[in-house]
Parts: sequence; C-alpha cells; structure tokens
Amino acid sequence: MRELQPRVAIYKTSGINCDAETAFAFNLAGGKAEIVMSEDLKKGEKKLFDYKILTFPGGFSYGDDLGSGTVATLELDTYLGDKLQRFKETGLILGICNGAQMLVRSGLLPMGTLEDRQATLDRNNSGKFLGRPVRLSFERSICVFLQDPEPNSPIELQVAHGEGKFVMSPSILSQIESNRQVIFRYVDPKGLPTQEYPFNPNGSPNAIAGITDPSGRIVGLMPHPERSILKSQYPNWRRMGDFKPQGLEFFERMVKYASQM
Amino acid sequence: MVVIGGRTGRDGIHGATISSSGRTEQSAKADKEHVQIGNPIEEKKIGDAILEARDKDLIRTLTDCGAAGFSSAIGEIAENVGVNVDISKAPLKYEGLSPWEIWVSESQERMILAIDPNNMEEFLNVCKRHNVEATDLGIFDGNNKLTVRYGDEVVADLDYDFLKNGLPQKEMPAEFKREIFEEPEIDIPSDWVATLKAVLSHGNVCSKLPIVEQYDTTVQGTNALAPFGGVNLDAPNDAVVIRPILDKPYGLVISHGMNPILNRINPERGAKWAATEGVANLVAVGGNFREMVLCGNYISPIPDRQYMGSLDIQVDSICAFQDALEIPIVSGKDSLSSTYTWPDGKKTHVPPVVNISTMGRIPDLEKTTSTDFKNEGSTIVLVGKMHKGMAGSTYYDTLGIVGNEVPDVDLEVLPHVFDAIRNGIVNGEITAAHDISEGGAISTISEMCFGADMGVDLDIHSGERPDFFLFNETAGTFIVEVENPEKAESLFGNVPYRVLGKTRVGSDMKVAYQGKELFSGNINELKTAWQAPMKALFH
Repeated sequence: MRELQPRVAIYKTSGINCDAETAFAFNLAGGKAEIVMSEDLKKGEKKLFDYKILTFPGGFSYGDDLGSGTVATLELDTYLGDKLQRFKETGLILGICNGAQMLVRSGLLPMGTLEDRQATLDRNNSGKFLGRPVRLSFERSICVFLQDPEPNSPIELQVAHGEGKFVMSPSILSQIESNRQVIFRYVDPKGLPTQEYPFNPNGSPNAIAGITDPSGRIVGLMPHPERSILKSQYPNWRRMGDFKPQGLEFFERMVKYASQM
Repeated sequence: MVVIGGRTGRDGIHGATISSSGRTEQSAKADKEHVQIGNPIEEKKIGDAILEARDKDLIRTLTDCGAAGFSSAIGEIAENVGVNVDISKAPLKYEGLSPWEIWVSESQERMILAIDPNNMEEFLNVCKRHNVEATDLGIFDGNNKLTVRYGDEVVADLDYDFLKNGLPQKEMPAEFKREIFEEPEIDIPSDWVATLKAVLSHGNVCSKLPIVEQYDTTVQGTNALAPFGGVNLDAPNDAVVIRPILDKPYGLVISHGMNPILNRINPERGAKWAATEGVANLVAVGGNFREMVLCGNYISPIPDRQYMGSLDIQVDSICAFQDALEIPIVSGKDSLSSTYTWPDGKKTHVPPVVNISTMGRIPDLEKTTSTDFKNEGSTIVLVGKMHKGMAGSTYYDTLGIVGNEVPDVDLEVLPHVFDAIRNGIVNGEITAAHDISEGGAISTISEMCFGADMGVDLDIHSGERPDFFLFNETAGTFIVEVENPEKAESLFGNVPYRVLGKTRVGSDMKVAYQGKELFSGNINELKTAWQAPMKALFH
C-alpha cells in the first residue's frame, strides 16, 4: 500500500531535545511526523507499525547516564526489541546524534541485528564537546534512499556532540567499507576525507560520520541534517545566494522512498 | 496547588542566605551543603510537560522554586488569595526531613502550579507522559492566609498582610566619593601594529570562539545568526537572532551589554554605557529599539557606603536611559555579596557592574545583518556621536592607565542613530554592521575584515589624535558597510557620521591620517594575535 504522506514517528524519551525540529524537517519534506513518547509505545497507546519511518532524534537521553544513549537503548531493547528488529521490513529507521548512539549501542548499526553489537561511539579525541558546521562528502553507499540520482557533495551540516567517534574492530571496519555501508565522511576544505580537527570533529576512523546497516534501511548519523533545512539555519546564509538547504534534500529522499514502501 | 518535578531533599537549605553573604576561605567546606544539586534532564522534562499543558490550556499560573524553595514560591504565588498546603505530601529524596527543612529546601527543578480542579486529571496525565512527578499539595483557599500543615499539624499560620508589610524597610546609608586616577600624558604609538595587536589580544577583546564551540548553538534549529560567522566561521556577531517558530519569519533578538571597569571610575556613565551597549548590539543586527525589553543584573561587593552610593547612581542612570529611550526593564536581579575575606581580614571585591540584557522582536529575520564585510570596494562608515573620553578603555589598560573621563553617551542623539542603523539594515543598504565597544573602532573594523578575508583602506581625516580616535570606546557608535558615500549621506544625513574608507581585496589594512600613511597591518597577522589568548588556553 502506498501512502502519499508517510507517517513518521519521532521517538522521544526523557532528555531528548531535537524532537521538534526533526518533526518539522520531516513535515517540510512531505512526511507526516508525530512526536511519540516512549510511554506511548510502552502502553500500546501508539503502535510502531502504524509508521513508515522511525526516527531517534538527538539529545541526552536519560542524561546519557552510563554512556550516551545507554539507558534509552536498554529501554528500547526491553519494550520494543523484537518489533524494532522487524521494523525495517516495512519501513526506514534513522538515528541522529544521540539517536545514532542508540542504534549503535543496540546493534542495529552496523550489523542490522540486536543480537550482534560490533561497534560503539566513543568520546571525541579532543575530549570536548564540539558544536560547529562540518563539511561532509556523500559516499556511494547501499543506503536505499540515497541512490540515483547521486546526492550533491560535499554538503555542510552542523555537528554537536562529545561522543561521536565510531569505534569498531579492523575487520568490522573493513567489512562495512567493502559493503559500502558508509554514507558520509568528514572532509577538509579541499573536499578530501580527513582526520584533522576540527574538520573531523571527533577523530572517527576513515572520517566516518554516518553509516547504514546491510539492508540499507537503517541509518545513523552524527551530524544533524534537521538543522540545515531552512536557509536561515546556515551560519553564512547572508553571504549566499539562493540555494536549496542540503539537510532538506536528505529528508525528502527518505520520505519519498518510504512513501513507496 | 501542585508541585511538579524533582523531589525535595536537604540540598540547598539556606542556599540563598549563604549566597547573599560574603565568601571566606571556609566557604568551600562550610557552605557546600547549601549548594543545590542541579539535574538538567529533570528540568528538560518539566519544560516539555509545561509546554504541553500550556498548549492544552491547563495551567492557571506557575512559578519556579528558586531561593528559599517552597516558602518563597508558595508564599508568593498565593499572595492575593491565600493557600492551605500540606507539605507532608511533598515527595522527598529520602526520609527524615523536618517540616521546616521541606519548607525552605532549595532542591532544584521544582515548579509550583495552580491547576483548575476540573483539569487536574488531564494535567496529571500530561506529566506522566513526560515522566514528571506531580503532587497535589493543597488549595488556594481565599483566606488571605498562608497556612502550612504537616499532616494534621499546623506548622505555620501567617497573615498575608504581615508577610507583605511586616518587615520594616532596611535603610542603607550611601555616599559616593569619586576616586581620581592618574592620567599621564602619553605619546602617539610609535609601533602601531604592535599597539593594535596588544589591544586585539586583550582579554576583553580577543576571540572567545574556543569557548563558544563547546556549547550547542544550533539545537532546535532556531538559530538565524551564528555567534561566529564570516567566510572562515570565526568572526564574532553582536547578538543572537532566533527563529522561535520554525515555519514563521518572526525573529527574536537577544544581546547583552556590560563593562567591568567603567563603573569604578564613573557609575553614572558606566551604567549608561552598559545599557547603550546592550541595545546597540541588538540594533547592529537589525533589531528595533522600539520593540524590545531589558533585564538588569547588578553585581556588587557587600555594600559599604561607597558601594551603596555607586549602586544608587547606577540605578538612577539606568532609569534615565530607560526614560529617554522609552524601553521597559521587565526583569532583573542583584547580587550584593561579591566580597571575599582573606584569613588575615583583607578583602577582595569584584568590580561593581551592571549587565543589561536585551530581548526584542522583529517581523522578518531575513532583514538582519552580520558583522563580516560583504563586498570589495564598498564604503566604511562610522555612525554615531563619539565622545572624547578614553578612561577605562582597552587601549589605556594596555598602557597601565585607568583614566578619569569615561565616554558619555548623548541620549538625545542615540535614538536617531539606532533608527538610522536599523532602517539601513532593513532596506538592505547596510550590508555589514558592528557596534563599537571594547577595543574601539579599529578593533571593530579588524573583526569585520576577519569575517570577510578582506583588507581596508582607511583615512582618518579629522583633527583629533589618531590613537584616541581609533581606540575610543563610546557606546552607541557603529561601523557599517554601505555601497558608496552617497548611500551613507542618504542613510545618515540626520545623525553624526563620517566616511572612513573602503574595503579592498587582499589582507592589507592601510590606515592614513590626514592623507599620510599612519600604518599598514596584515589582517591575517592581526587575526592570529586576536585568536592567540584563548587558543593557548583551550587547545
């Protein structure tokens, strides 16, 4: 069944603070977004499978006690585990920043299964939180909604995190590279992938900023596309002519793909 | 009457009392149990629950539990009706608190709300959805009394007339004697670039980017003017512009003005400087001084006659500013306890300061500007009435001088200057604007170059000393970029202004005085000096 406006669940727990703008971004991109409290799903007042896109927005879920996203991931696993695992059969999953941390801690990234946790997101090499715009190159990946036409690259998005460094074993790293599961890399002013601070804000290996799972339907990003959907959100919009905000394109592609699922 | 949020514990008992007394070497140990323990996640949950309850029209009124906890929050919220509360119902962090401890605890993240009994169930559901604890403590009973119970026991029973009028007004003697500082004659700088670098790398002028980057300035997607912008994202802006409703063009502009030195020399002019600087920062991005409010925060040592006198003069000065520009001050606070007593009895005082924060609204945030120059060959204009005073300036400070003549602001001229700047920004004829503050016009122009990766040709054609002109810090003056001198005349014909020069390709800052070259600097070198102090501390 095709929906003109796919319903988007913006999953919110205590401490999440990017829910409103993420919902706004999906709505602007043609989706029908709704902020869904973890309580609503636990009690069954809302049903996960009523949605085509499930999004975990940024923030500090449960204060990031025990590590970023850890408590929220435990809650997810406990109350939704099986459903979460099956969601990608009928929909797309997106995690941004704290949401990406949750997806990685759950195991859904990079391997696509709650049974197999093969990575983590660790403290930035600088030891500090960093909030600033970064440049990113789109990689040719298996992400289902970033296929033809190939997205423009490089793009500029905001990062705002203290724990954004992907950590995994060399064999997993080479596996996700050869599977083309890397979506975004941090690039320097010349447009080349970089380990140099602050262009690479956290020291992530291979300059990885975002990844997908083997199905291409689960995506985790450290940068915030929902903060670059309006022209006025760009720090230098006064110096720029007319342009299409690059975060918006990301959401539009996702919504378009989901509407055909 | 409902309390929501965090539980009540022993933390923060007498926090307000302690923070209103001075500090000694014992403070860190003896007073630590008076410090409240913050929990930002609890605060975020409360905020979300309140917004939802507000949108559903479930709240009659509310106040947060700040200093003195329930006693002030409940006491104040019920002042026109009276209240009967049972504090044994208050959720506690742990057992064993006496009624008085519950009553004055300053545990954080608690809110007191008045909810219509008919809305109670729905309100409690909203709180539950956000994981927020909510407890009914009592009723506003209309008896005009503050009745506090602990179960069946009445632990306080006070008449509101006594609570409001029972304490006689304290009288504090005040007298301000102006201190006279040495103000030796100084030579015009022989090494201009070194002088400029010294000013740019002064703590009150230098780049604070490494600090700002450690905060999230783009969360919620509302920021429409980055704290640092320009081609390399490292040039400071004057205010923040927020888009509070993402699908509307409305803008909220917020800025601040404060100076840590001037009040010591001249509280009347120092306070006026702070207020002018706060509003000028707002105007420099395109804000409208006729659509704004102010918030004043006074920080002073424990007031003796002299500090009390200073405070009295500052308040009068802010009031005069408020009257002249017809801008209301809607909020504020004072902290009159910033004195440290050493074991030997010696005292260290903070400088007496007032910080003026501003908040204004604009109908269209696209009609705002940033500080970075936009075009090559455009005209650079100084707008506003400069006063000759140099006391308290950064330039003086780099020479070890305080001085006596604080720059004065002409409140007759100021509103016209603000209007001219704003009109030029709104109609798009001012393409960059930056208000002059610490470091003077030349520091302001330097920052505008940093944001543009451009140089400038300047010619100071007037009669005054070039150093006193370039480093003067009169508040309410601006550097702006316009297309050409004719534009400047059409925009600023009714206010004091002067054309200073043009932007140029490359990285040279060339400054002439009455037609002859005064000095030539390199923008990149100046920027390195300006960035060096905080880079050294934070990298």
